[in-house]
Amino acid sequence: MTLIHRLFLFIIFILFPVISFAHVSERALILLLPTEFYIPAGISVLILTILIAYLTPVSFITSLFKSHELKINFNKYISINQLENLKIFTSCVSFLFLIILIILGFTGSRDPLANPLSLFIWSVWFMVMPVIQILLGNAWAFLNPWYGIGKLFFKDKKVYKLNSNYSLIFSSAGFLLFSMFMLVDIAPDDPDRLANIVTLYFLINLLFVKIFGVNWLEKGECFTAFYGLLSKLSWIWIMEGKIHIGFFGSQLKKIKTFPSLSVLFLSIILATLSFDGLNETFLWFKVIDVNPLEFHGRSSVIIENSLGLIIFAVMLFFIFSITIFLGHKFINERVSFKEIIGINSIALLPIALAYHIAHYLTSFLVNIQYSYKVASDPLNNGKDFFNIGDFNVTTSFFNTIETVKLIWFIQASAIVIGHVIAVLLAHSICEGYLKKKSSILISQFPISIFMIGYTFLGLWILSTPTVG
Amino acid sequence: MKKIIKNNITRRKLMKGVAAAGSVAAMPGFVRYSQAASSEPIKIGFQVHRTGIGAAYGRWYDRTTQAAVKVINDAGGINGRPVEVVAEDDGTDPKRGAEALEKFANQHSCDVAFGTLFSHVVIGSAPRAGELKLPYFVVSEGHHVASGMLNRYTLQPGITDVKSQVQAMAPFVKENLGKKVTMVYPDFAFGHDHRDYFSAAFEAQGGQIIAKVPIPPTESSFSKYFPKIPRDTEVLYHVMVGPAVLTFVKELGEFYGSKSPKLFGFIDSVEAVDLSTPGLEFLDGSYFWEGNPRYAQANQSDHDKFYRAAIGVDANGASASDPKDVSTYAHMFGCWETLHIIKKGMEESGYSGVGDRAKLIEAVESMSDMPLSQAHPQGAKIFNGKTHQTFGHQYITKMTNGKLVLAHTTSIEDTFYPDEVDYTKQSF
Repeated sequence: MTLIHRLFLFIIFILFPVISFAHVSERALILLLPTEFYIPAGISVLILTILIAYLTPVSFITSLFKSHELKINFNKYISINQLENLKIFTSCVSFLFLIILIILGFTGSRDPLANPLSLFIWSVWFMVMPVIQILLGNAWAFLNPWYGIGKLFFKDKKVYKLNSNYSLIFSSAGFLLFSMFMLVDIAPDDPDRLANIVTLYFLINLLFVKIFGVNWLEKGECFTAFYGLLSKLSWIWIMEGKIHIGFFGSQLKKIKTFPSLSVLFLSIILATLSFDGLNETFLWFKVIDVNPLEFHGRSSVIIENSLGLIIFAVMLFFIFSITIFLGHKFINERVSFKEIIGINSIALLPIALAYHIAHYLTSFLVNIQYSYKVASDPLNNGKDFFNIGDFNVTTSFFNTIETVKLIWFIQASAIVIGHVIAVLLAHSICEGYLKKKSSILISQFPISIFMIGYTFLGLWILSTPTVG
Repeated sequence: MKKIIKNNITRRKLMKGVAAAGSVAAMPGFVRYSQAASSEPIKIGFQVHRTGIGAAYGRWYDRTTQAAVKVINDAGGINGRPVEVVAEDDGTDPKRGAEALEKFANQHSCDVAFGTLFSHVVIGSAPRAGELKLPYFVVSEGHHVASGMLNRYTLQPGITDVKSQVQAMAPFVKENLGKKVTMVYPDFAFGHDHRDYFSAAFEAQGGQIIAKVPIPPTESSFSKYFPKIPRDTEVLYHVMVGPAVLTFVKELGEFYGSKSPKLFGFIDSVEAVDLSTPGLEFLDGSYFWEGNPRYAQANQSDHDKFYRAAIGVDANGASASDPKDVSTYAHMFGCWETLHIIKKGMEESGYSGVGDRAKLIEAVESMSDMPLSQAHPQGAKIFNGKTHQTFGHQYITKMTNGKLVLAHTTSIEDTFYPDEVDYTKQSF
């Protein structure tokens, strides 16, 4: 057993001693937990946070979101030019990696849990990248596969200029299409199908990079736009050659406005991450009148899931917009809704990340094992680079009450912490443009109710009977 | 049935010769696959529940399949050719299931297709198998094969169907547990099959079904249904499935305490569930149908030992590499046995390529006796070539101190019912 193997097993069994597929027994065990007490407890934590934010002086939130500049001059070690070249280089490596994955998607195992493309896209990149953006800062700026070739081959010549606000229509549409593929398409895991989609998506965006320059990526390519926003919540960032650290969202202090269509983009993202969970609950199956114990697979609910996702996104867009509108209607300060809606919508981001972690944790714990197996034999030709022998994927962490409880608490904590951060962030954002404490309090009232409701939804999805 | 058994005697003689040839192939130093006219692999399309509601079963079906293919290949493959498994995820979805079969036939040039469990996937895929003229060996337990609703290209030779499983329980329940039964079942096709097959068989035995308590499929709290169970119930027959099943058991325990009627259930309710889960202690002393006993029994055969070791399953039916990872032991043997039947069918028919698919089906149709062996570790079976369905022993185990201990093994005859179809009359 190699060191890597031991380390891997350590992470799986010790750090997360509770792992499993979204499997009957896991949810069956969750139903035995006293979640009727846990849910109010989680919501109480949020209410307490709201009260603290309300009752403390403005200076409390201000000091919480203060950034600290580290005394390391980044430019001493690497110049701006060198950093740019590094970005081009790593992006090109990422591009080559993607090409290899696509080839393996077409030629590798047909089993999605043994194909490097399917496993990497769904179980590594999609699940891990958002978390990396928060933990390490904007790593995606170095990893996105278009930047390097865009810079090298298109010399960044812009054929057309992009308007920051309207470009979000492209990223919103892009993410919605991606969501439809992930949640509605009948076989998003199928290696062939995925290889085609990834190739198409790559080429379309490359074309846009040619037309609009590499600026397209940050503004119009939905993942770069999403990950860019997430990195704004990171506790660590680089500005003017200096490393800064601060509470999640401190970077935003320097930013006064965001494109107003951010609210559309973030509503679609949060709706996707919430609906992927809601659509597995028995309640949803009651709504669409399908027997959850006899579910005939995705092909039987294409219309229902498409409509559900779109309606959810539209509802979220309106509810959140109205929430912000109402919050600013009754204050004695003049603010333009159009100017503040964009930056306020950033408060949806920590919630989106919380739902992401809570919902995908279980499948991540299982699929990362398959990924490990495939990484040891990437070409499916009997190689065993990590010397793992007959490594068997396990889901036993879904089988024992202790581990199921631990997993549930990690998921529920993610939901609660995400909302706590969102509440504080929403407060801090308003402090950026409102002068009086009374205005801030009034502005926060509707959004506080929204946050309580959304926390309940998140915890309820984790506790209710689900399919699969 | 008689006719099939008669055919088999001739076939058995024939098999002696095959076995002798096999022993040469097993000699040390023998160059594998050397006798084959072609060294091209035999391709078996494996339709597997990788995603969707069947994924937990799919993981163990895959593990069993990989182990069986390794055993077959280590012993020289099929007709001297290695076996290659081409797995396609069906998403536990009938439409994708049919697409998987198309890929097996048209894209991967598979010789046969095999594998899937969930009935709706089998029912959605089988017509496509018929159109593609692709032999489709299913491991689903459904009665849809023997009921005649499918076609000549679809066979279920490696696992018994639910109709025979349920009816075979009736004599034991009546003789040992009680004559007055109340049935509690989920109110949809799965539960209705149990209700209909068991009540018919039990009443034929002279027993009485005194109440039927259907439970809506989306129900997650059951206490309000328990008062519907008559007080003079001697046996409670339960077949709950889904995420609320442990809640059902817990609430049943709270309702009855130590004074419950005798309990009889199907392992499907707690398949792959660790029986030491809190709340399940109420089931101690209750009886379960098991397709294959999860725990190694006192009379364990060498074949079961070999089979467990090959898949990497311990004496408690859990993964040898993680004792908490409980397998779907009651069902997954079907993959192992079906692959061995495909091998035998190909050998007996002299299968050499897709042109011989009809010959392969005829060879399997002519099988009947399948004795307990390494190829059939679950037990002996009798295959009915007309209905394309196998029949075999069923196991009733009693939960004793958290383990399932064998209480009764049914005869194969207990599982018989009159033929409902003769697929051999359908043309290819």
